[in-house]
Amino acid sequence: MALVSREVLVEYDVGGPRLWHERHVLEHIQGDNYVVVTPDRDIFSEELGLLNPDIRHIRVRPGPGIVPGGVNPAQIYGLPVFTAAEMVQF
Amino acid sequence: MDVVFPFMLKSTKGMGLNSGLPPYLLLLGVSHLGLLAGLGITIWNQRQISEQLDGLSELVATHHRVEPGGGGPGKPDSGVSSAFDRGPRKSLEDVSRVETEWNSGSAAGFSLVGALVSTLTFLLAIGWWFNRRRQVVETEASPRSPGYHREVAQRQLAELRLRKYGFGQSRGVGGV
Repeated sequence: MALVSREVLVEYDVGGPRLWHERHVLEHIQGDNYVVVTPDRDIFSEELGLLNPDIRHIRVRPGPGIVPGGVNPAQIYGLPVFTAAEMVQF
Repeated sequence: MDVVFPFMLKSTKGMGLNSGLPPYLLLLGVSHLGLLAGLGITIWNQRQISEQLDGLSELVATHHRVEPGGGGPGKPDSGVSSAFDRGPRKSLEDVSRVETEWNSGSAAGFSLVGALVSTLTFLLAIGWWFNRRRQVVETEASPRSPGYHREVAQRQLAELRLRKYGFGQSRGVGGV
């Protein structure tokens, strides 16, 4: 619930280069499950918690455009600037 | 979730040293050793020169003591000099040779170790610098390629889907 309308950075537990996937949290479903929107405007549900085995790290952006500690800005696949119309559609 | 400290991001792993120590700490340690070796060599050489100077001053003193008594050209020998001529006179070359022979072996070894350590330090510094430069170039290059992050993100999510559901399934982790 606390993550609704926040931007979250997720690092998945996969190989390859380190990449933080940014998510905008739209709705809370239950427990750690949220509806999120991705940089490519895809919408789906995702478990944003430590119990999700697919996730290695999670960081919550302290504010818009602020990079949390320990995150390299060059390694973020960030969200585009959504328009007001787009936000309503989400 | 573990905490990632910024100073741990560039570790010695990139240098082929899997200790996880920051490279500048390692470099600092090795440089310190190199400096100590250099200091040791300098002190050693200084001591050697000082001993040579002592020998020389002794020679000069002996020479001055002998000089007034005689031995000069055209002067009668008073016999005083014979009291000092108990043994063969040490020449400058003799003194130098004795001192140098005694020290040359260890000094050469010490110098060799110092030179090796200094060279190693220099090579490590160059390697670390190139490694760091490469990392910086990579980091700077990635944001300039807009499709790069998207491609990596898609690949990672595809890997997750594959791991979770196998081939031919599309549900679960969503798109990027």
